[in-house]
Amino acid sequence: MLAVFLIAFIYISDTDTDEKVIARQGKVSFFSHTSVEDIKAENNQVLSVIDLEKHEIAVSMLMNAFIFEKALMREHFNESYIESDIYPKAVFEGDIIDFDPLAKGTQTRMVKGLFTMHGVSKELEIKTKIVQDVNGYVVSGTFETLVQDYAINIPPLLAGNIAKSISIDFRFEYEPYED
Amino acid sequence: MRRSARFSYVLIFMLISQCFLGCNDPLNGDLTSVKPSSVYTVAQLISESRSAKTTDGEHVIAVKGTVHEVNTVNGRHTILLKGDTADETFVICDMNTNQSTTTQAVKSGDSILVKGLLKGILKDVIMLNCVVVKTE
Repeated sequence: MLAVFLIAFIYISDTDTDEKVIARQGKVSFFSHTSVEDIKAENNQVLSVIDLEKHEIAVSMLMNAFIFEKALMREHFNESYIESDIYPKAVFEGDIIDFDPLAKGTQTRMVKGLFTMHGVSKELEIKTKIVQDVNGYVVSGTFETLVQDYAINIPPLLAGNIAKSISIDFRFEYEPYED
Repeated sequence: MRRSARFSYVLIFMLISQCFLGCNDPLNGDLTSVKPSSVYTVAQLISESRSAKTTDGEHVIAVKGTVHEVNTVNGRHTILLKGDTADETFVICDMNTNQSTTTQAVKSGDSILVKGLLKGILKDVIMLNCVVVKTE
């Protein structure tokens, strides 16, 4: 009888995914390439939480926390394009499709959800690599997005400096989280 | 011809001025010599950031607290300061690149005074370009 209880306890402990994981220092970077100039920036304090039971993922970032090579690029980005004083955050909320939180190693999954930036919300579907090892989960991926989708006005004089399609990379290292 | 030359000079002057202003933005570089507008404890900073009292624009501030963790996530030297709040909310200080040696000497549990550019709050308060002012 005791053995049955022990086996049941071990099984429940091993399959219990009723928890969340958090990444406080997620990295999101973007890259714009034109013949005039390359612009890249990174944000290393992106917040993300995954609900392992519901397979839901949430991401939030401060738009003024992107680091650029040149101060002038940062100024244009915050004041003219993203208007970070009016729209300080970008937020993504979505689901990890067919996610198996118990699977060790690497799984490639689609993440579908709503991304809101500069006051504009858009459905995104992103191919994502999820790795689970002894340290926790690492989620990473790359996708392209169009500047015009987010109502970002670029003056004609600077239109040649900024690509129409921007490449975005992300990487999050998660640790256990109790809210 | 003379008119286009004059226009070119004005344009070049504007570009140089803009670059000069941009390159010398004190908030984008080393904050060692910048005086903080306020000094907070970690608990005060978290409380005031949550109530949005400190997020009007970007300020150089100083914060005093206990080091929760020092890490190099994303290849960046980062110090997490903890306060007295019951929940796990920290002040994340992304250190200036000239602080790598100083940061390596900082350990969990140290009392520290850090100066940096306050960016805002998500779950944690975020500060960039941080420099260590004092370690105890």
